[in-house]
Amino acid sequence: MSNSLKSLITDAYENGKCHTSYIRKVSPIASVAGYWVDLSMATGTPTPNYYVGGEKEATVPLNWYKKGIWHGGSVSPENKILHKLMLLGTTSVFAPCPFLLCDYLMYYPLIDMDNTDTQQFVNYDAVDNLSISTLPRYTDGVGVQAFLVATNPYVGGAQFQITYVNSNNQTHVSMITTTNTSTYIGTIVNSNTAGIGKYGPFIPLALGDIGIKKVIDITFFQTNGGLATLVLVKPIASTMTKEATSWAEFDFIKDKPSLPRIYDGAYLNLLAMPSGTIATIPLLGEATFIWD
Amino acid sequence: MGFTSIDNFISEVTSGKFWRNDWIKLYNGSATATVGNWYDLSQGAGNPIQYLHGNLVTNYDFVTSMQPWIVTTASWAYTPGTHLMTRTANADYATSFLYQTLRMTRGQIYQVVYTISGAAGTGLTVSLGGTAGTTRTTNARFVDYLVCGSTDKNITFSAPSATGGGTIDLVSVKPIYGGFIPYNDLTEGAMWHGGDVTPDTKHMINIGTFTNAAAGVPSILELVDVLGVYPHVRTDTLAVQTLYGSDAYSGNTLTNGETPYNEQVVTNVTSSIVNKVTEGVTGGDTGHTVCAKLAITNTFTTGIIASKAVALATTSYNYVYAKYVYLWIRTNRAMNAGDLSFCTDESANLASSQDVLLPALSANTWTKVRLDVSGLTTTDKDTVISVGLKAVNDVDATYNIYLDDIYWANWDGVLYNGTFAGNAIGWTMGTSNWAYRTNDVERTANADVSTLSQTLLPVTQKCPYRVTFTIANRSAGTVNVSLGGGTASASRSVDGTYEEIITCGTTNYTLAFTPDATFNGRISHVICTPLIPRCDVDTLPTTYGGGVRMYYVLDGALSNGANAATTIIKYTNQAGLDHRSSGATINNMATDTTYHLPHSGVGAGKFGPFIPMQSNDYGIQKVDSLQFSTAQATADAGVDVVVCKPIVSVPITTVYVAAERDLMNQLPSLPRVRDGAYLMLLIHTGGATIAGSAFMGYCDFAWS
Repeated sequence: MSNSLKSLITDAYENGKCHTSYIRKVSPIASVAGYWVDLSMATGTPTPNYYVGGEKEATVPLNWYKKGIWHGGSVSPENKILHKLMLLGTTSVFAPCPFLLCDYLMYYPLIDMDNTDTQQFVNYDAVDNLSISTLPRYTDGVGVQAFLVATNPYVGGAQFQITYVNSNNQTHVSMITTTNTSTYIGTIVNSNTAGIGKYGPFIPLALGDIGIKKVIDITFFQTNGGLATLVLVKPIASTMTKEATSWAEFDFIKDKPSLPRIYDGAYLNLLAMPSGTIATIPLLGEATFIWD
Repeated sequence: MGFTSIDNFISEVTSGKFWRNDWIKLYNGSATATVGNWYDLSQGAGNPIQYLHGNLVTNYDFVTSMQPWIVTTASWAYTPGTHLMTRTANADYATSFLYQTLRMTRGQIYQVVYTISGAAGTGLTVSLGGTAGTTRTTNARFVDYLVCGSTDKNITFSAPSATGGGTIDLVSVKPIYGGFIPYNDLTEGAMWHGGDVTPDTKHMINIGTFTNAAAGVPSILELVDVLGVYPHVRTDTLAVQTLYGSDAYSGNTLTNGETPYNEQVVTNVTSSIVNKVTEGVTGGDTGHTVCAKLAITNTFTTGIIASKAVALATTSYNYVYAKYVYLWIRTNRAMNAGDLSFCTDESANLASSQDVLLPALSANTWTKVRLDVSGLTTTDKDTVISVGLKAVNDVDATYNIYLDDIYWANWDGVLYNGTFAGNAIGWTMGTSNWAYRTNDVERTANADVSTLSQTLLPVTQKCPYRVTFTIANRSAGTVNVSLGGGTASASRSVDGTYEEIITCGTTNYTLAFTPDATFNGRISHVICTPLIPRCDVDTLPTTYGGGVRMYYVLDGALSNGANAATTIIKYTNQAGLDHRSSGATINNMATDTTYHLPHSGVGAGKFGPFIPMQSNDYGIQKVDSLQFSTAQATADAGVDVVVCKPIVSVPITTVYVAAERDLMNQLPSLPRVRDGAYLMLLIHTGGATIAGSAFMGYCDFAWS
């Protein structure tokens, strides 16, 4: 907890409790206007994220946080916040464009989107009687959201839903979501443009639910094609670019006073909703974190 | 008290007093939105989930699953891919039900709407609390008006025989004719903002919105705290529709005290209108400077004192359902019970009137007497044209009677049998020391302090209610009343009729009278009605309701007749003055599009998103009535009248361009978000927004 603006700034910039990371993401894969994309999978800095893991197994990679937007390591018992975020979309597909900085928590890889059976996720090792992985942060699930990102090309146009355990430990079923027809790897398949049952970037939850603790299964009602990973994230901050070649700068103390908390071990990366294909288009940025 | 400094803000937020909500709502209206109009996104799918205003059914369209519906046999099955519940014909029909327990009032009438497809054999039947509707054997959307029975508080679908089957969808149950339903943050479809924080104060800090729908911009999103709704005000009638749900005690005006009782000339009686100050009779109904006066000479004996012509069939559409009449009356001499009677008649001049005796009146005291008119048949109340007073006993004196507004109400609020009419059915009497007597219940002193209660009431937790009750024959001890397990009223130890404003707690949905061990006395005439929440009820009646605005939206449960009528809407303002008029003539747009606020649009007489108020008014305590100038052909169609408090407006100028507002520095306002607030969005479309267009965004809240 910070006591004052003065102590926060003094600690950060006079006592060295700050870190600035530099971002340059260039997706080699195309995207479609209006569909959200997961920039963690794009090449550049930080390094691309391939969602490696056992099939449909709850996965939290070892030291995952080192591969996301670096925020300065563990600072506990002090509190770390996002102070500033600057982004530059170098062409009009990235500007205007909304972005979401997320803390990536856990994922379930290698979901076969052609399989219309209910596909159970592996949250528990029955052989060794152990839980596989659980949420490493936001462990109560409050505020945790889910998206489904393509890891192989797909056709799309199918409906699916997930069964999950909410933050009250109740097992609920999400709203049925229609996938987009982008076909491209790195696209969030549950995001979509106008149409009934089309949402994004997150899978709408059941009545009254405010977060997810873990996901039980996923069911496609039609064949969709491709493979995907279901990702659980905690949205941290929103920002946006407005004009190509013009930096978007936000101070989360002054401009958007919210002081987004960054927990030790957070794997940070960006989601974006571009207005066209982002293939080979650089996105540049800086993120400054402070703590006291 | 909220944030005291930037330092305080930083300290509180970094200690965790912060909530970020990411939301998405679809405009899913039944047609493309018209440029320049306002629409209500509550009904739109997304996160939070869609909601039909005032619907008592949860998950009405089975959108995520069948929760919380219950099936009793496997003949009912949920199909996830289509969001539908289907019963397959089976011999188990007698025990095979699809049901959900609702919080309803037994004995009250509700509109039940549902859709059947794939009807098979003898079809399906809906029932409400055990009251069966019409068995349906065809595919269509159906409407039943059912009185909640005494079997349970369930809406139940069943098959009348083994061959019966079909698929159910889009189920709604709403109280008819506008009973007020308050909302809180747990009401279906509310945007979550971090839960209750009292004694801290919560503020909205940032909001950002964007869309990927090119036809969805430019647009304006208006975030409001929906305080509640008067559901399903019919559009297929041009009569005045009284929205009595808000406050049955002050009720709906039957006739006012500002016009004389001059329907007939009565010998030895002079009827006039007098200024209360000049006459020395201040008081009575709040805010009225004049009242009716009846000067009676001592040569008058008995019979009709005075009457006035009214037209209740058109001016008070629902009076036929009246249970109580509330009469403001003052006399300059004491009157015994039964000396006077209140009269209504469907013939002029009270020629064949129905009379109800008045209780005893103290001299020179304004009294609001409550008269039970439930014993009059509906055929004696549906076309009343004359109201007045009769003298039953000759008091042999010269005296004056003053009359102010006369109200009526149709029920005991959310309660069943609040008057203990002939029995105590519906009430739970804790132990044998509570006992039904004659139209009341009596408690005798006992160490056991168990309660007198009603459970599973249609009340909304965290919202205020007015509970009125009468204590009589009290000889010892005290009694208080509580709702939902919340803070109880003051303990009462004197005979009298009390109005208690209490907040429904979060423990249950029970109204309970709790005595102390020594309480000896009788309880009767209990009414419990909702008030508009989150608008400073503690300031009643002077400034309560400040900042509250109203709009109405086409009811999504039914198709609506295109209603191009004008509207007269009356309300009680923040100072308690009733029957205030809208500040301008409201011309509805001809529309049949769900989500639409038909009073918005481009052109003369179009207002949006809120209905303009009368000069000098800045708030609403309740909406009194609504009247359309023409009736629509579509039977059962309606609008929902919504009351809300605006929180913040955000314009979205361009597709993909997020509209972001910092409400601390950029637009310093830090809008207050109260515990229990039901946050939702209205949208003003600058483009021809097609159905399915998505609007996304986030809201940041912090508290201290």
